[in-house]
Amino acid sequence: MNPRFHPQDHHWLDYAAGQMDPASRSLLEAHLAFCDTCREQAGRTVDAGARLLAPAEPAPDRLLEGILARLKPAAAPQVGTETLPLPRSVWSLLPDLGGAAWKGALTRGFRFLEASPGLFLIHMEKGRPFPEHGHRGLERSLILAGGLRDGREVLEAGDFDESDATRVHTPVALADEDCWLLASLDGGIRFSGWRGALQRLAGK
Amino acid sequence: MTLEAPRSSSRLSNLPDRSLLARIAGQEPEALAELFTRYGGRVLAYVRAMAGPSFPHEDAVQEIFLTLWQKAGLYTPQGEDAAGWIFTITRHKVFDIQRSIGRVREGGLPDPEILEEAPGPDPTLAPSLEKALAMLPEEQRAPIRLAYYGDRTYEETASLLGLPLGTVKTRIRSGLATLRTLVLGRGNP
Repeated sequence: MNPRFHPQDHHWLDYAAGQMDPASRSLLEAHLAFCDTCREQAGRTVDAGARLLAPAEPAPDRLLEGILARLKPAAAPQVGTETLPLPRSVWSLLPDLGGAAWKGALTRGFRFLEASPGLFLIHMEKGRPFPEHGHRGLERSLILAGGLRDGREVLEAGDFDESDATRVHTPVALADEDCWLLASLDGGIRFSGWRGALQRLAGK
Repeated sequence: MTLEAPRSSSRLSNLPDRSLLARIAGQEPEALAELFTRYGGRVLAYVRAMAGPSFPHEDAVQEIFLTLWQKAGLYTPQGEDAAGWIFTITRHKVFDIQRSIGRVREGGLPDPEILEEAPGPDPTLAPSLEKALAMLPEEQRAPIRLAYYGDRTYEETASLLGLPLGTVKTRIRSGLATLRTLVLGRGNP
């Protein structure tokens, strides 16, 4: 089933223009893994850039040899010895989590890790709430597996959500399945000072 | 597990990009080699033009094709080829590397005229795009040149033009939408 909540046209323009922070870009790409409609929309948006790649001399063969030597088959993401139960379509979109550590011990049934600067992987056990929080800036999220209820809305795998600083909310994982999601918190290098929000929730 | 390192084969050379991407998504290294044969030179030229001299151009090209390998399943080309998507991934990767090497622009921003000083023809700008850009109103063209093709953030663009950030974003979005129609409406140059 296609997701119900999608990034908007301006998100794809920002994506195509390279004006989106890397963490939010990861969310949009994860959405593409679920959404045929947006794959076409994103395709239309980026196709305008095709004209920038004008003909040029071939690249040196050694570059290709280096690329092929580094190809790896897709593998399920792991944190320590734990293999995460995420859909195969998003395996290659997550950064290497080998060095990441779960946080969130203060709240049972809720944990998270910072997958890359400003990009958080969040795991909520079924039926468990995300600690109440407000936003000092923009929060975007993308459901990878399971689902959650946020006020009157239910978000499920592939759904994209964006909240601004005025919203205080307490999402709750659906009762029948653990929820895994990615969130970007106006983080990244250009927007430093924001990604502390989750750490503060964990008492760090 | 190590994947073999084949060269591009003639078997794949007649396939459209769309089919090639599907094969890359299916983890066929030969298909990535064919994509490199088609686009490697253009990507390298674009990285050189975009990132300037003190930048790891060849490392970036390798990273870009490794990213294409990982993300091929996400893209559905709407046109004849995958160049638009490859260009987008290229821009992202150049920005990421610039961030990671801590490039900081201090001491004032370069004058906008610097964009016009590239020696000889700009290898990254195809004639049809230049024509389409020229058809935009100046208030849209200037921020697009700076933010989209000039490697400036929205904030830097607003500062350069002396405009509020929101105004710059609105003009860029309107201009890009028009540009998209103009360029796609004309077909391949």
